[in-house]
Amino acid sequence: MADYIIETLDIEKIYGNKAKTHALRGVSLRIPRGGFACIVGASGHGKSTLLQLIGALDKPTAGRILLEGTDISAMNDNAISKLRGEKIGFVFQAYNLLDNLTARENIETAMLFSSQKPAKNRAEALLALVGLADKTNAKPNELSGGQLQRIAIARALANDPPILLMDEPTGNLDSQSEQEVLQHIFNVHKAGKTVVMVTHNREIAAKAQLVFEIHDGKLKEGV
Amino acid sequence: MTVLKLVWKNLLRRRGRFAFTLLGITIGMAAFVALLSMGDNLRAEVTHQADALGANLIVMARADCPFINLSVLTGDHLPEAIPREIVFEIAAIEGVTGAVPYLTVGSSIRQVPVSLVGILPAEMKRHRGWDVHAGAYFSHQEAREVVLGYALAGRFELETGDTVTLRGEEIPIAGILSATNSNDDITMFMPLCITQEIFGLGDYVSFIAVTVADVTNIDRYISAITDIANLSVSTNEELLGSVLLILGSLNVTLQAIASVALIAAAFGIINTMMTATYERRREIGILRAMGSRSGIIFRIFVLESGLYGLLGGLLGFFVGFGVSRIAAPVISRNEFVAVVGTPDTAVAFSVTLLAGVVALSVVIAVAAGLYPAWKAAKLTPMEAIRNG
Ligand SMILES: Nc1ncnc2c1ncn2[C@@H]1O[C@H](COP(=O)(O)OP(=O)(O)OP(=O)(O)O)[C@@H](O)[C@H]1O
Ligand SMILES: [Mg+2]
Repeated sequence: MADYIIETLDIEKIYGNKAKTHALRGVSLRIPRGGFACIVGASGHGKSTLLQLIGALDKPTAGRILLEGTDISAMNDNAISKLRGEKIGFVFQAYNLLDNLTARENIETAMLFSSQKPAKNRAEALLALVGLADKTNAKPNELSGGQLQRIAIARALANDPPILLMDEPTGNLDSQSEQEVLQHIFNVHKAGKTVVMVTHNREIAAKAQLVFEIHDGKLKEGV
Repeated sequence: MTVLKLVWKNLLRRRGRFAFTLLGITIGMAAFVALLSMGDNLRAEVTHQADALGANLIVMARADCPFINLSVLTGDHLPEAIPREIVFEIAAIEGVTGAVPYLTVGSSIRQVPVSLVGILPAEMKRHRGWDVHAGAYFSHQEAREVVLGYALAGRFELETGDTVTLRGEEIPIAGILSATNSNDDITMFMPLCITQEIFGLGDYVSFIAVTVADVTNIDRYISAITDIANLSVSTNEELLGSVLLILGSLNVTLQAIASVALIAAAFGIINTMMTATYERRREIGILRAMGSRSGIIFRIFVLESGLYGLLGGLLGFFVGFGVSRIAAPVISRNEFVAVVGTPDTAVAFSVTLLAGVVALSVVIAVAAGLYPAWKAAKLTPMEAIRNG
């Protein structure tokens, strides 16, 4: 049996109470440990929804999600929080850094939420990894979009999680910055992380080992 | 990075709001401390005056009003209601070692109200153990002179040889008493018969301070005095007790006022923290997405409001303490609470009081922060996406 680090079983997601949106309609997928997967599809078809469910940011309406073989739907809130802190690094399209903290403080804040004590200077090392060693003490409003996204990636790696999830991490960037950010993402993957990325960019998707195309809340077969 | 550092950075983010919220709790706590210590002041001072009176029994006219007891201790004007011959009759009771009459009259120096007490000079000096600081004591029992308390002379910058005007008559100042740390320091004295004459009063006194040989037999003296005339006789303790009772209700009133200030401050904190919860939904979502347990979010917000309490309590203590020290002498010029703030009576600084005040402040602030913190802790990681 292959070692699937991420597994979804027939997950459904319905948003809203009155006006219901059926965002996912039975999605089952498997991603092996150390894999590089892309989720593609047209706008509004459920890509982000799927990624958020895998990242344990939200709960599916039905179905099961297994991370490293453990069913997270059965976990209580504290256990899920711990999982988010230690197993998953999430990179948002809108960076979502804390604006009143410096680059280093943003990364150190993420380290608060792991039971492992981080190595000294790990924040600096992570910033160096994404090529921003000189921006340690910069605040988000002093940085470009590409730089912000690299800091967000560094933050996602703060607790050395096995899984890195990214929702259109280069969606807001020009092609120059996009290339830089992608380079760092590939490096991270090479270093052994499982990477799942939502993208509109077919070129990027072409480089992935696995591509899931989602259409109207369902996976398209045979991509 | 620590949670506390995170909290501190959040707190300082909106400096204006931080300052005003802090000001709210500071003012609340300062009011609380100031009113509390003034109440304590009053209490300490009344106890002190009761001791200073140096009498075992106080003889007064019968009256329903309990405030009359307060007047004995503050030196305020009391009706002249006891015929003077009663003083001699009491003095003649066996075992009575002293019966010193007081005739309290409201007078003024340069339009400022001042207590004037008519006394028997020789008896009073012996009874109170006065020393003369400057000039001379009354030259004889019926001298047309006044003698001033130490602080009173200082306040009006009066010296021996100056005069005070009483009912249009210029009366020379014979001397100034040494400081006694009692009410005597802010009182003006004049021989009893001269006081009666100038103020056009009959041969009456306001109250009589009685000392007895054997305090264990106090009831016997009380009945001996009431046999002479229908008068009210209180022991020093009874007098003190009834005055402290009045002060107790005054204290409750002051504390109620302070509580209102504290409640207002608590709502200030609730308001600030609710706003912060709302403004920071996205950030809370980010923290949750990074793996923060909801308990940590709760703790962050409670700590933040608790810090308001800690800082506000510390600042409020020192402000309130300062205010009570500055205000005490000012208040002492007010007729009703004239006893406050004679020298050396301001509340002493106490670490226990400081700790108590800060603890109260923190408890109030934390309580105020509970609901906002609970609201914040309920937010999910999805807030980061919805508000991104
Ligand atoms: N929080 C929400 N509440 C209600 N409906 C939502 C919510 N989030 C997403 N939806 C709806 O669910 C559907 C799928 O949204 P999703 O964000 O997953 O699409 P997407 O594929 O990521 O689109 P895009 O490429 O534009 O980011 C859409 O119809 C969207 O309107
Ligand atoms: Mg999306």
